Amino acid sequence: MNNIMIGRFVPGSSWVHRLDPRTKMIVTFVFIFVMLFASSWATYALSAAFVILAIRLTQQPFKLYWDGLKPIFWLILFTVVLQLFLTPGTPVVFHVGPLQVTWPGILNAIYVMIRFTLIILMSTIMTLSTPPTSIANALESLLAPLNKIHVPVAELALMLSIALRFVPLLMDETQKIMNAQKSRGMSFSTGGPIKRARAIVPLLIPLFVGALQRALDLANAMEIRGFKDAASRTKYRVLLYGRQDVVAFIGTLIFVLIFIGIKISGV
Amino acid sequence: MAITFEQVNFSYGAGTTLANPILHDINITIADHQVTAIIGQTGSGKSTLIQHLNGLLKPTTGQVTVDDLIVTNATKEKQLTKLRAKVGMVFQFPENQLFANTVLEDVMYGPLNFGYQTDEAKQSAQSALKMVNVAENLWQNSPFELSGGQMRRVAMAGALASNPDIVVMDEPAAGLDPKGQAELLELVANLRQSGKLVVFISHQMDHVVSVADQVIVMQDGHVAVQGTPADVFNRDIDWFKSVNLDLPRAGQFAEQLRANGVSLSRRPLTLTELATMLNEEHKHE
Amino acid sequence: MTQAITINNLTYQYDDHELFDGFNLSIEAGEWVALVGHNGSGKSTLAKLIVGLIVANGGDIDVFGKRLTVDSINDIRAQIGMVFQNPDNQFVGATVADDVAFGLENIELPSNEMPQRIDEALHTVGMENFKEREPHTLSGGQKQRVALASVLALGPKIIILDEATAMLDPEGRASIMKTLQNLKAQFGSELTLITITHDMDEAALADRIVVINDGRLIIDGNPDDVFSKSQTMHDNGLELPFAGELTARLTVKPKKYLDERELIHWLSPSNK
Repeated sequence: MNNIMIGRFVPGSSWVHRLDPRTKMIVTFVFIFVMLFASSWATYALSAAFVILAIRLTQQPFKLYWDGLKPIFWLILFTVVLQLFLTPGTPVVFHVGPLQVTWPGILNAIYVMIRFTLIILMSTIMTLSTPPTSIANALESLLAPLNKIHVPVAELALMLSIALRFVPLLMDETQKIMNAQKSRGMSFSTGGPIKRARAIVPLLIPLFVGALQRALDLANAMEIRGFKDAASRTKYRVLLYGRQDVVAFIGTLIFVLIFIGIKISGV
Repeated sequence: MAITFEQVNFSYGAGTTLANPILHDINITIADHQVTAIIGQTGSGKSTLIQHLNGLLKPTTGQVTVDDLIVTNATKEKQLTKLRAKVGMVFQFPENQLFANTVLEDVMYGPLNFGYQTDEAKQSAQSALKMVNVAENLWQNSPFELSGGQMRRVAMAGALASNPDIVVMDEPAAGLDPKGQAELLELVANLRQSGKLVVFISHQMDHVVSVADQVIVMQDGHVAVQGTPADVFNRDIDWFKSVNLDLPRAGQFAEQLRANGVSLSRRPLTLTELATMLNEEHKHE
Repeated sequence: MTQAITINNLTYQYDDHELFDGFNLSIEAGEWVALVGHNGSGKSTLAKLIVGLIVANGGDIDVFGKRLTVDSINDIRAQIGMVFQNPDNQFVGATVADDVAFGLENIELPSNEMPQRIDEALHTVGMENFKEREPHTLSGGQKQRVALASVLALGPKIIILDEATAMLDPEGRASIMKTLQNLKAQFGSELTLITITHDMDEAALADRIVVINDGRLIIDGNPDDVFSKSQTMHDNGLELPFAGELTARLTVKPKKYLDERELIHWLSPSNK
């Protein structure tokens, strides 16, 4: 489990770490949106350069990001293979039985791979440089307008941050219960599908019971510390846009403008 | 039925960039029909060590031998079931593993997994429940309706029900009140009497001196020392500070007496021993 | 003296069982009271009743003269802080600082006043160097000290520790006991402390010990009084501190109950 980088926060004090979480979130969404329009070598090269620059600014080694990509390698490969065989066009490069691989198919496959990789890298930059609470705070702040249509944004954000807080604990607990039941002879690897599905019950019930107990305890602890409702609270971590956020937005704007320029000139 | 560790090393995530070595060059023998206590400060590798006793963890290098079964890094999961039938494992706060509709069904889970017929499983579950003093009128209750102490005992019965030759417990007394602790020590003594090999982790040195035949002291993933409680607890007081462990309460008290000018012929390890020594001394005066 | 807590004729039923039936207890402001009893004796239930996490079937609870009712509950809770048994289940924030901030956010303290309050509270429990740490990187004892800081930051007049050391290793337990002694030294009569425990070394630190069993008050007195009643303690599933157990086994005993330090002095040659 240790090598899943997506969603993991790596503490640091780099330029990217210090950006307002809202800035990082907006830039990431803008980038993903723009990537949908990438269609030529020039646009992909530009986007890759943008991501590489951002990675450098996190002051984390490339290897960390590379490790993060590994677990989803198969997902990328699957998409690439789909593109490779299912893109019609000419010239046909070679046949594999009823399937044919075309030149546009090869190009498409490479593009999809790059697009996928860049989007994942960009999202990793955001989660790697932003503590989970800040992500929840940023969401709350960015989605605040939804309050007007009675979406309980503050509650949702608090729920999200508590859920994130309990993830390592529940993973730990799963491991412990698994060990306990394995010691009592639990096995997932024998018997038919029904037997295997039943084998998971001794794992799930203690997990649910434990999670419920934690939830009750946590509710008591929150109540005792004066929690009434999520909306009427002040914030310890106040979100403030600073100089570096302006720089980040201008940088992103320049990236988008050049991107559009390339698209228009048809390179 | 003895257990041996030969040159055992263990790392989490061995072979990756995130490899995290926990155990270093462990060479120990745990004798049959005895109670062995494993002590050491939090994070010294005690829990990792005992998870090697039933193959929940396999050594990264080296081998663990339990009776005639050898576990190395290459041992397949399927071969471990046989080992697990021999070793009853009680984890910290074992009440968290209960799941079945009734107490009896929960305790039968292990025996059934290890191939017992239903009535055999039922019988051994019943005798395990009797051994840990769970009253018969509770056997058909849901385990979740029980008190904390009762749940703990049901969970212990669950580990004892397949009548294992080896019983391993990770801090079984944690969170129990004095009465619960006394009952637990009695259970350990009974298990020993019935010829089982018992290994338990404890932070309470008084428990260690009252039931253990052997003590293994862990420090930073190494075995710092192994010996009888008398050997281990008669070491120099500074050594205890260096491994961040306490003496049994009687020993601590005696050390303080010594610092206040009361000379005792040796270091007492239990309350009774200390009281006897003080009473003797008084007679001579 | 001002009464911090007055419990009058309390009744509480649990699973068709009268746990409390006409229970009375009053605790003076500034006292340190240890509420002791074996597991299932009702001591934790009593704590939950005092802070209104569960509701009594009858009787009254007054906190600083104010009756506990549905309307007064928020005011009363503002005066009481509580630390629970499981260190993991009361850690709300993603980091130490966020956890201490949680209560301050609830009372709508202005953001710019928070850092100072957080620093002070963490300093009091000796966790000031762990501000940005995440809970899973802390030991149980450290998490409990953060929980204590989280209630301290809210400036309570009463702090209740509900078996807060039961799940800790000896090191963690010692660190909490030390912290409590520091707290008492720092706040003196400004702070009423209630520790719920079955560990007698912990109870011995208190000014007063209240032994309960099956919802009934068995003994109420200072540690010396309580620990001299060794038979009653044993009958109620409890032990004495080590010094008490030792004294009970001595052929020649001191005239009155002595704690560990006193007993060592009594046994030493300078006393003879």
